Amino acid sequence: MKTIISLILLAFIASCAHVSEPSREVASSNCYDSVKSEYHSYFDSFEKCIEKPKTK
Amino acid sequence: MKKIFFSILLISLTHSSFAFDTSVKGFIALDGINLQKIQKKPAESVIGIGVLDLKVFAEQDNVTAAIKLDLDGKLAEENNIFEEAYASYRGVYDWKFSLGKGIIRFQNLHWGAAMNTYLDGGSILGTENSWRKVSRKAYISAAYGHHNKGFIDTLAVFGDTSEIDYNEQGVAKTTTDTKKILTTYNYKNVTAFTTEKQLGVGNKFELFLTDSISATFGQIYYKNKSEDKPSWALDFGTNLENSIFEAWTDILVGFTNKSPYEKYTTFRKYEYFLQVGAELFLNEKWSLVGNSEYLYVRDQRHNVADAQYQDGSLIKSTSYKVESVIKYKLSKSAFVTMGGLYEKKIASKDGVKNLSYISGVYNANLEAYKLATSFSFWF
Repeated sequence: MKTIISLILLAFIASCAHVSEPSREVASSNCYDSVKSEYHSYFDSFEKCIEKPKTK
Repeated sequence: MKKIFFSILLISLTHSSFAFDTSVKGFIALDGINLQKIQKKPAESVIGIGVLDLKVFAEQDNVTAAIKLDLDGKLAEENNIFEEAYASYRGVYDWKFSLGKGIIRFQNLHWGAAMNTYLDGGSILGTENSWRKVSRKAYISAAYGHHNKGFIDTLAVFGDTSEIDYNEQGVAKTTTDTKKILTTYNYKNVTAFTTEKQLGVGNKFELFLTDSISATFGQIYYKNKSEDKPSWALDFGTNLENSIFEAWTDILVGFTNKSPYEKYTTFRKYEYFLQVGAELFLNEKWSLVGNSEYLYVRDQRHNVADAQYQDGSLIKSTSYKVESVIKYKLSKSAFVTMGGLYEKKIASKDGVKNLSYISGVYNANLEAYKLATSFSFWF
């Protein structure tokens, strides 16, 4: 049982290590820096940063 | 042998693993030393957690999913732990399709200075308006446009996740209180709504005039089958933002109709709301924030003996508040705010003014003050 768990863990770590970067562009850190600290727009601004590459 | 077999199996599985990004974002506002005083009542201090929100985002290729936990809500109620839970698809250029539970956006919502806006419950005295932030709705939406295009339009079809419970004959189930006087509908929390029982449509058009100026125009419509007229609202807002100044305005006009036994019922309610606010950035650390709001509500009640407060009277109420704070930036995402708020509420019943008590109206004809020091942290 321990062996199986170890193998699963090992495989999971291995999968994380060699996952290729997503083909899309990653939103720039400037976008995250400009996220507003305003209660009603905070989460929306952050979500727009995540989605930003798709709008280019 | 087993080890080798499992090793081969698991390593082969890893070749099909997906790129997957997750983020947890949150906001906490702590009330430091807050002193508030309502006229004719003793002053009280409020210390503790003001607002607590946590939202988890998961993103993979063209799909985004998000869950916002309502940690300061009523967690004992079914399906109430999450305020939002939705997935969005952006595979078609300029389009975004979403499905799930969440907020129907049509207002230009903006926090005030010391408190939230009237449209999201920010009041010491309590307000009589019905069209507040439209949250906890089951919805499907489509959005077209983006910031660089100059506009975004978001159209949503929605229903309430707290639905009136109907029996097999289509008659609403009711409860009468122990004194056998008041009747109310039974509600049940649902994860999906049926258009046969209720239907809402909301739209928000955001126009980006320049990099620093934007305007919003929103419309909303809602009707359930127990109501004789649909409820609706129109909203118009503007935002101006640059490195030294930010300003916001919002105007809302709305109408609400509910059946006598619904929660927060009204026969015919008209409401008018105005918000004007600004933040002046003095330097990198300090800023001044001012905000004022005005609300007028004309509430014609039902004339039904067994429904609470529905005596056929006409209630007119005016609420307004003025608030100002000075804000200090402790770090990139932590702020301390110190300031004050004044609020007044004027109400009349059937034309009779200056009543010290009106049934079903919070704090009629009173004023209130608040001195607030709060700490907020975004992460």
